[in-house]
Amino acid sequence: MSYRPQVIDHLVRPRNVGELAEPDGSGESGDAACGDIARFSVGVRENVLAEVRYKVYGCAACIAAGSALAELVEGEGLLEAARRSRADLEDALGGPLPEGKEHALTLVVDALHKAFEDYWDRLAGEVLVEGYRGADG
Amino acid sequence: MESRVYLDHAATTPLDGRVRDALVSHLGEPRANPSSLHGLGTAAREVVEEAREAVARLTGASPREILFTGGGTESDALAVLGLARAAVAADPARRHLVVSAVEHSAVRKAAEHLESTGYRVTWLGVDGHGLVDPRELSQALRPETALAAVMWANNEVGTVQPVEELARVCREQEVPFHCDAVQAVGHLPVDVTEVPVSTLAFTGHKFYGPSGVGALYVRDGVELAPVSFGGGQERGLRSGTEDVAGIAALGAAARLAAGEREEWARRERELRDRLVRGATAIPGVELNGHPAERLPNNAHLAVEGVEAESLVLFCDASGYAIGKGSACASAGEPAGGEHKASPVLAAMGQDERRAFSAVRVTVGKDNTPEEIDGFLEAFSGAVAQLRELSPLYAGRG
Repeated sequence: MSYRPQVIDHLVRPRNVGELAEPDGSGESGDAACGDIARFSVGVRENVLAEVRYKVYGCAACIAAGSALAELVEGEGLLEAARRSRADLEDALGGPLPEGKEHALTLVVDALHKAFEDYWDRLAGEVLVEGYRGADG
Repeated sequence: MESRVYLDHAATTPLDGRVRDALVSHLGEPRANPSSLHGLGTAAREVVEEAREAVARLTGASPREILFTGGGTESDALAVLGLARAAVAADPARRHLVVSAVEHSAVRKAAEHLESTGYRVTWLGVDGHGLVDPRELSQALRPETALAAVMWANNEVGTVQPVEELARVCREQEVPFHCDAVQAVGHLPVDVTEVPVSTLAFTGHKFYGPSGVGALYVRDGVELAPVSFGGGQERGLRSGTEDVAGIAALGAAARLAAGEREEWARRERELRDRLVRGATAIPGVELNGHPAERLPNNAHLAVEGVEAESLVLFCDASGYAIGKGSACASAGEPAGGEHKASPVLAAMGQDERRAFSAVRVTVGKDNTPEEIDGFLEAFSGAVAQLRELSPLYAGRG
């Protein structure tokens, strides 16, 4: 098993790392007990994803996928970003991840979608969206 | 990316130049089968027997007690399966094994294989440092025990077992004792005249010799059944035409180790201590395994808040080749299998999160203090960056 140079590049120079101090939405996915964890926070201005920050604990694929996803969607319209699929993310990483590492795509896409859910719920002032699974759902 | 500094010697060592010369010169010779009657065959036989003498001298054995095999894993399999089959052939009731919980998978899975065919296995636990208690071994042995197996030194955390005591316990109770010494030979004094093992497995590529060639010491008088069949080479215990060049190279590595091991170990220990001092000065980095009773070349580090694979690849990108600390239990199993830590750290009482945070840094005779200092700088930078990324480590670095 070995990773593409694009994955290693995102691992050693991860983009958009961190957490927004006052996010418009935030979401977490993974298994806090012992597995990988991803957390995304987003800032939305006029339906555009103005700021995206992420944090990941996990294998190299998870870190790289988080970085690539944050880079991919920052600056996109909210609906455009919400339609981003695992396949788009795979393309951004230069192609399929090594066998057994595909969970990394799901982990970070889920966390971003949960951040969107949180944003829409806050906007509506109530739980409006639950279990939104994005373009892959 | 090319790694410039190699710090993964427990995985395999570079071939020493003098061993490479032996290998190449024998590859270049006219090929002959050591079993052939003609002069070329006799010459090939002499090469094999000279290597056998060198390997025997390194371990305090007699040449006739050394079998050449295809490597450490094969030596372990031959010992575990061969001792078990010989025991059950002598007495059908002898279907019980005692095996430590921290064995390399070569021994562990051979024992599990026997377990699946009706043998009972008592798995010996270890303490927090990874040590087996000789009293527990003694209590686990029964009249129907076919063999006990405890490794000389652990391939992950580097802990060195009280093998002399363990082997004596087995000898007193007349139970064959197998010792996997793959990590020990060439790094620690391993002498079968002092440690009454029945069988001892080791391989060339952990002490600057070739991979694909190993040895099994079988003490005179120990009953071992073959597990492969054919031309009857190696006293009928390991059939198959000998790899003459590989065996010659193993012999060359054994001669080097016999003369230079103490100096290698002194250098390894100095570099290892420098590395451990520097690494454990980083908050949240701790040494796994026994602080004193450990391999001279092994630093096994638990790094809080970081996942090992990311850290290994991060160090690799900075030019340092190190190993993951926990051999993945699911390696080689179908893709998508459960991500599990190896049983070693679990047996030592560590939780999965800590097990997945461990890296293994193993130095070699040709590393320098400057390389260690360079590594420590890259390592602390990598740890800091990965912690910054981690949602689990927020506000603690």
